[in-house]
Amino acid sequence: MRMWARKLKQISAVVLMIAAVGVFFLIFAAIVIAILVKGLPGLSLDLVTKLPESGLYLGGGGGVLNAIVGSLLVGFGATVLALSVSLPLVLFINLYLRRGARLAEAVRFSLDVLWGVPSIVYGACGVAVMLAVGMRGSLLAAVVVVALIEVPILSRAFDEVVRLVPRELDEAVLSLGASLRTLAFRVVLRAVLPGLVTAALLAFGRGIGDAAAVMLVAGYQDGIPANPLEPVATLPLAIFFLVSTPGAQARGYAAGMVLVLLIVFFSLFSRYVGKRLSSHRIGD
Amino acid sequence: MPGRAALRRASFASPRSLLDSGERALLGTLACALVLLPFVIGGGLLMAARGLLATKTVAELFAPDSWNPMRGRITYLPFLIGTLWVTGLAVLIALPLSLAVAVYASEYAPRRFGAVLKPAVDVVAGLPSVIFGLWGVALIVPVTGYNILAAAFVLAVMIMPIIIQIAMEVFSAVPPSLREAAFALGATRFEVVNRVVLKKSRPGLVAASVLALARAFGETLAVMMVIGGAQKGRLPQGPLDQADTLPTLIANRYGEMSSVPLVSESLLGAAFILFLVVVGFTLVSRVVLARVKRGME
Amino acid sequence: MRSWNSHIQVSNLTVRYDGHAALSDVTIDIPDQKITAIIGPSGSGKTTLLKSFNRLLELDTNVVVTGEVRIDGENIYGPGVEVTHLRKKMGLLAQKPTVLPMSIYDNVAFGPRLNGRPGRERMDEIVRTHLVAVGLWNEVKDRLHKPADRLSVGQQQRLCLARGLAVEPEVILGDEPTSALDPRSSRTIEEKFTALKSRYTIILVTHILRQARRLADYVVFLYDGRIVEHGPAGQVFGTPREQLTREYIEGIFS
Repeated sequence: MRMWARKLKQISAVVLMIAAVGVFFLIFAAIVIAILVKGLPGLSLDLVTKLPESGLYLGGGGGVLNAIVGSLLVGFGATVLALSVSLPLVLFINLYLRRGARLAEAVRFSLDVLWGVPSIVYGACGVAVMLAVGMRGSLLAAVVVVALIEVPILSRAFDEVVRLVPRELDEAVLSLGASLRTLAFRVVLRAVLPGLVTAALLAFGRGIGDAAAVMLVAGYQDGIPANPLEPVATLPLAIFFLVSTPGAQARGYAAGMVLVLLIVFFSLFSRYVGKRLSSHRIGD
Repeated sequence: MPGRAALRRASFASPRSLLDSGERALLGTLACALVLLPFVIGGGLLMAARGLLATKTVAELFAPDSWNPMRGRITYLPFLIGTLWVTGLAVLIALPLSLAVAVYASEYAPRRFGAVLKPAVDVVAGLPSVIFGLWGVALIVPVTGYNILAAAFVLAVMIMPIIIQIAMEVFSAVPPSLREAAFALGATRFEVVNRVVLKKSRPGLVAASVLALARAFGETLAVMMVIGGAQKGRLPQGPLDQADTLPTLIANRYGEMSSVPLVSESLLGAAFILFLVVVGFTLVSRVVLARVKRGME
Repeated sequence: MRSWNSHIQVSNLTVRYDGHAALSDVTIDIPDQKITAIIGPSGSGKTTLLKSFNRLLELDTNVVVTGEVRIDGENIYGPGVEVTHLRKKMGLLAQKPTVLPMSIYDNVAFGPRLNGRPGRERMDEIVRTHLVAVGLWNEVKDRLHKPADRLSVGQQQRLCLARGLAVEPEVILGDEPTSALDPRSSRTIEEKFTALKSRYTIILVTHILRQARRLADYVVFLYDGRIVEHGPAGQVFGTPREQLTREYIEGIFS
């Protein structure tokens, strides 16, 4: 092939790729700008500090405080629950079991499968159980189902960090006569704490952003649930309902902004906490 | 030598403590329960949907009909076709774009570019689906209207980060020595990428696409916000038609589960189909990816 | 006939990884309160033998150990053995210094704290004694509560030694403990070993023949998972009985 033809191919490939990169960043910018432009007019202090009033969907008063609080409740409850499963589980498969144990591989495989299962399927399972026992949509059901969604996310992220702990550390600690419990919960946990916090906040972000499962199992109400058996509103659903209502679209976008800000806040927060905790971190 | 002799005589044999064995049993049970969970989910959904198979044959469940459980007409075909349209188009849109970005980032651009791209990709990957839905309603729907195409665009944007992330991992697993060998033979960068890097990464890229497809297959709310919904549950006629997908079928009709006969069974059956397909996709892509990584080490 | 008591008796010890034998039918007595050097080319099973003494081998799932290791007459692979008790008697100094992700003070205090919590003053005394014993006290006394990973590699290895000694073991296992260190730090560790042998049984895996000559009272030569020769250092290095041993110590292979 002639040199100029090869050069031409080379150049056109680069041009196409740069165009693709441009499109990607354009889309990225478009998401941010669309939410800002559409959301700002609807944003007000009332939106984040007041419960919905009767005319919220018709352009009347009130806000989505019920959904903000609801999302935080669901996200927090689910993350605590998921953490109480994932933390011992991951320490167990990495430190209590022998290296290369079949059970550890089976758990990782199962986590991969559960990670891929869509939110709506967890929601459907939740509904099936709730119909069987005669329970209606509630905060409790939402917390349990969202925790189920978070367990694989949290466990896989945490597992990746724990696997980075060098085996020399295990051997050093055990050689001092420490039990596996001491190794797992007093040394390794301490060493990977920043990673655990990052993983938990990642799961929390997914938890407050989840819509499909919550739609099926959480119910919805304009107030803040007084107990875990009451239905609960969540922000993604509030956004969905507002945007689907012709007169209330601007508030839907504004509520969307609130959700994005919440998620950005928690991801920055996780980075900050990670840095603060990392003074004793392994491997740096 | 403080107490040396005494220490010597102390045996290190001791009965296993109850706390230790209890702890081990508890943790072991937790791990086993987790291994069984996918089987419980799949099996449970199948059991819950088995009433459907008592009244319908499998062929009837996928017959070209419309959905009207009030009249006993139950078929998954309109929703399956809706799902296939949406996910197929989404991957078709997202794949070339994502690959171009990934190739540029890992083979052409200076390292600094990756430092900009990675956080941006991570942010997009971390956004909740309702935000993508909002974006679709704001920017896509005004152009396309509420239909399959709008849903495909929204999904394409949602799966781009997945493909970019995995593709970059796959590219970085291609040994530099292969590239150097090709350069040494006088190949241009384009030829190196085209004939060495892309060729070597093909299985990994297939796996990335399958994983993205799986994600798109199960997406609910973002699709629901822009796809319009199948009128009277009829078969979608083309990409500009309004439609429903298997996930939006469940999300739209779950309210009828306890009131209309067979709706509960058929929605849980739809969930079972989703579960099977997504689990299958995930497993295939994981196995391929694991093999790719091992093969390149 | 022999002039020493044995502390550890190994009989017919075989260790298999995935069916492949890393140690085959090893039988040997390790003398009390002396430095025993385990030498041999890499892959000969030196580290495996060392780690069989505190049962670290069983962290892997595909390892099968048969035979016996008796410490003061008690088989450590016998039923009912509490492995944490065993390991408290066997201090390990690894190839690379592995400090725990905590402060210098807490590193040394870690072992003593495993057996109940000594009082504050008692603990300060324990930490000071052992840091003095490894010659680290003067270097770190002003920053005891700073993270241990900020020490130099040589200091870290001495901290690891102090941490092991604070558990009050009877045996010190050294797995090429100077291989990651600079010459000066290596010499310090070697001096500490010589000073400690009156109180401890020291078993040292090393691939440095000169180090074995300098330190060892007793030498075990391993080749391909089998013991080729063992005996007092002077005899093994001076008049080796086996051709293979002679070739190895003359540097014909390594």
